[in-house]
Amino acid sequence: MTSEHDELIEVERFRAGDPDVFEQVVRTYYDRVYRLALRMLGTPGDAEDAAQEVFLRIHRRASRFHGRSALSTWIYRVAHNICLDEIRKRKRRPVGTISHGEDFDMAANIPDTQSGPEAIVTALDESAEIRHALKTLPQEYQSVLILREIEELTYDEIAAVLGCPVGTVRSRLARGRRLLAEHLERRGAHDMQRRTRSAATV
Amino acid sequence: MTCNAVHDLLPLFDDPELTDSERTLMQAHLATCQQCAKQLAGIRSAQDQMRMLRDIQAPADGPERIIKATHSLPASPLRRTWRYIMQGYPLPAGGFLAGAVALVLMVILPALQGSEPAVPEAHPITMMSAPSDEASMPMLRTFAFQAGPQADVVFAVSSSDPAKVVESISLRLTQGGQSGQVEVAELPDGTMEVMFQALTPETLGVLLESLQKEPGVRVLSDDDVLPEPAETRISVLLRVVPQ
Repeated sequence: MTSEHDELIEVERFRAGDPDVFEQVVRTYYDRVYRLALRMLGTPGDAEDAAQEVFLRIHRRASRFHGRSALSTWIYRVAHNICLDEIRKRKRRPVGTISHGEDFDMAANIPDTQSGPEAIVTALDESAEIRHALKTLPQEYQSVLILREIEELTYDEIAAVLGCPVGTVRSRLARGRRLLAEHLERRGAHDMQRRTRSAATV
Repeated sequence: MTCNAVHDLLPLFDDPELTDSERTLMQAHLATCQQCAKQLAGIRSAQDQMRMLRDIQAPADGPERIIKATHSLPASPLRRTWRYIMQGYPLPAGGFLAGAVALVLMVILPALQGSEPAVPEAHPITMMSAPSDEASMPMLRTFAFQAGPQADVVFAVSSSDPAKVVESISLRLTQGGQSGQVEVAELPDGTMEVMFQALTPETLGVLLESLQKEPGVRVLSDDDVLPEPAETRISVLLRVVPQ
């Protein structure tokens, strides 16, 4: 029996609502969905809620997945759309809503617990800086950068997730990377200037 | 090669999707241009920082909580459908509107009401697939239009008036001279789906806008069905929920 044949059977079982296959799908993709949601929405609580909504929607709509595209692409697409909906809802909310949990998110960004305190502080600083820089970009650039640099999707996969041509992915990626680099460069120059000024004051 | 010529490609320099000829051209330019080499270093640094965001700790009990939550939910029902295709339906440039109205009156509205569609004699309907037990099956009828460019979009709407949505779609399709099919399916849960194919993205945008202006129509989402990049068609799914 070929793996392709096995995949077809799995897709059919998934579409038919087989709970074992669905559970396997949740266990396989949960971390990726959570990570995408965290990077798009910014807080662990919102990411957790979004991840739950993603899998409940997938559960409801399993029969509509035809298996002609990768399951992961479909799941990323649902996740991306749910996060976009949440971002749009936030924009409609009254100003003054406080975002909780960012500190927890920062702690989750320490990649190496073996590092010394200075390395951890540096990692937190850089993580906060890049997250801030990312948030300054228009949403369409944020999406392609997250899907490419963090989720490591190909141009084709990103095009399928976003429902746009590959050429659009390519141009958004190029523009997004350039904008991000320019922002970080300006920020670096600004910090350097500030440090020089305070050193002069001392 | 000038700096302007590599400007758009430079941020993609490390991507395997770049063609060999593009990379070779850029390498030649970078060997002689310090300014672009500096820009590339800045872009690579930003990419490295982005990659740091890959490391996160997802809640360990997240999957279990979701699985538990779905235990009490019914499984997604398989959509049972049957369809007809009306081939070569003539829609001359000046008669799109009249054609659409005729189509809605003759075929789509009767279909929604549960009766057999009126079949224009000159344009016979070809049955693509049929249920074994017609009485127990939901209705799905497909109407073919002119061939057109490709795109891939799917979305869902709810409406208090399914017939109006179908009518509106048909009118927009024919007014825009677009190709494709319109399918109407009644689902076991009492909801109704309308699917049509082969629009340009521009026409789809106009269509979406006009649908959103219809009283009682709400666009829900566009992730019900995946776009199929390998296929040369649009697949648009409208989920119409009678209220």
